[in-house]
Amino acid sequence: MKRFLALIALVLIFCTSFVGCDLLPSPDVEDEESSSVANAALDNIPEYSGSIYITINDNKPSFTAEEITTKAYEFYSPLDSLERCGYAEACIGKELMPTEDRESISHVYPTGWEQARYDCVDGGYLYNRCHLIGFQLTGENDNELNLITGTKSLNNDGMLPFENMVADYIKETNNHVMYRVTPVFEGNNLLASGVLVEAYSVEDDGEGICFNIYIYNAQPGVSIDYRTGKSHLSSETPEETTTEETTTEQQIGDDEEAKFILNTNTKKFHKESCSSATDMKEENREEFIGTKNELKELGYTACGSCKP
Amino acid sequence: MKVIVCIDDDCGMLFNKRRQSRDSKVIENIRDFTDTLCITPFSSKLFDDAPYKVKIDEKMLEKASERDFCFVEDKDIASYEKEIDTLILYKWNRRYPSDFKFTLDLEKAGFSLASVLEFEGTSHEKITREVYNR
Repeated sequence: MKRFLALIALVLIFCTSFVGCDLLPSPDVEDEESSSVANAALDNIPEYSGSIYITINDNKPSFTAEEITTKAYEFYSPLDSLERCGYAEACIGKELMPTEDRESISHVYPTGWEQARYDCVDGGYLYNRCHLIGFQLTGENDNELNLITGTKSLNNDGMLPFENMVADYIKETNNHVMYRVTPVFEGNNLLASGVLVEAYSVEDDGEGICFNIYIYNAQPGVSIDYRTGKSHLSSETPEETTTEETTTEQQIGDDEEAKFILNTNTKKFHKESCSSATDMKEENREEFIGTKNELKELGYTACGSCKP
Repeated sequence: MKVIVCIDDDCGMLFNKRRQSRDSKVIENIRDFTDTLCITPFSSKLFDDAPYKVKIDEKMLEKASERDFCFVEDKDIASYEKEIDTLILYKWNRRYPSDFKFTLDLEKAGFSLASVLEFEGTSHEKITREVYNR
């Protein structure tokens, strides 16, 4: 938890005022000095206890005067070395909002995608592919830089109401809203612990929209291993076989010849046993026998879930 | 008095001291009931172009007469329950965050639904207006 707090804190130390703030660091950046300052500031961040979000810094977002603009834009951080999303930021106006229905995003497999079904989850499935900046705001369909693995509760109970509020405000007023979503990963975890969401309406200086919240990537009744995304009912112990599978599966060497499954759309390569390889659309699927280095030269990157 | 309130699916009214949502069609629709509306300073900007007269007073709920229509965004009306004979709810049919809610238990307070109207808003697909009397 301390490491987790330190990561959030890196964000929060920029949240003390609107002045003098720099862009948020990418989530995998840490340094000891920042962490120690931040830990002191984060003593009040509680563990998840049933409330899906908490407010941060008295709901004041950390956009600087230089950042705030009425010119619409959107920015998505590149994936880090573990293929995890970084922050996504936009100045949202009507000009960025979608004019067509959302298309399928089921071919995207964000890190930590270990889907599971539980009766206690509305709709059954634990995980959603969560847009960092919601589709209704910027119309991004299957942008893998904007999709993380999130619980049903994070998506529906946590993020969606805030997205609704921002979207309807923009539609009604024709104003712009600065909007930033930062997924927070602890250490090398593949599943985000939560997301920090900041928003500020521009033309009315925050009178309409102004918030800074942290939403937990949690699900009532389900215990989650954030290292992998695997889960079990809170009332049960995790299956031993699940752990063994994770720990004993060997990674293939860079120059070792092996069979891989390619997704020609996402440019990811997978082990044959990977669930992403099984679920892949046929038109995007291709078999490849060769080395990982050869694939990297062809522009492919390794799946963050099966880690070939 | 007659009270008008806008709420979301969770009976929310405000989040972080800001209204959850707004729609110019609601402002227009209020004209169905009255040509004079009481509001607090919190709501004043909403009614800059309202097609009726607006009276602004922080203490409107204390001062309202039986015939007055009060548009309430930032007050808990539960403590004025006995003075209210008509309640008009505009429902956004959306879920927004909220930290200030509509707390009046309509059934316990003896209100009964008198009419329902659905209409499209400027920024909302469907707004439901419910009128309760007792």
